[in-house]
Amino acid sequence: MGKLGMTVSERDHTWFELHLSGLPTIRTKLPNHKEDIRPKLESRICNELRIRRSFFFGLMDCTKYFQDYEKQMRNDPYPPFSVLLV
Amino acid sequence: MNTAIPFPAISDTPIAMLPQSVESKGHIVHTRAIPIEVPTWFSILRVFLFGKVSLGWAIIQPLPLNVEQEEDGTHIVSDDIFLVYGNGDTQSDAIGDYVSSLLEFYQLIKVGAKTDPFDQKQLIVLQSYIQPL
Repeated sequence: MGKLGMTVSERDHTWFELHLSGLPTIRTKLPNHKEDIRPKLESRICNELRIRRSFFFGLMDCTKYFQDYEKQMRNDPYPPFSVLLV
Repeated sequence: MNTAIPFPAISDTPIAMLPQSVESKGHIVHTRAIPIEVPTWFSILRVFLFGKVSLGWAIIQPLPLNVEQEEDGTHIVSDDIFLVYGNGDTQSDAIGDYVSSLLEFYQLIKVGAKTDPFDQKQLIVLQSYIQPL
């Protein structure tokens, strides 16, 4: 989350927020437990970040960076923002 | 001319089995087992959250939730509207974590709605589902 420059908001969960000009704020949280993040939970975090798992792995592997993420959000967020704004 | 339609490739471990033959109007129709790949969404249970969910909060219209289970037995509850999730060792724990997360999400959106037009729209949608009592 630090790689994307997300701001931290501490509540019962730790939330991360990213403001990109002209786009809805992207929000995600980390699970409370300290165990490894399993595939289905990973998919839900990807949903919150609006990226596909392949892109998420790119972020984890340091082959994708903030500039790539911002471009992805502006061109092909998945799921698209319109889902939330019906 | 050979007009036979070839069968698809068959694996050694078919998931679904059809009977070897089916009798119909006096004709014998021979069938073969064909493997079926069960899609991942097949394992998602859909439930609805409705009514009082927390001290001072209620869901005022049924909110559809997905309940999934990881291979390690832990549960994940999520929605497809706000994309919030909760997780826990049991379904009950996961729903509790989901509700807690949804309330936190509500508070974040409410703060954001003071300045962000997207959050203002989202707050309206959120308030059509969840309201303080």
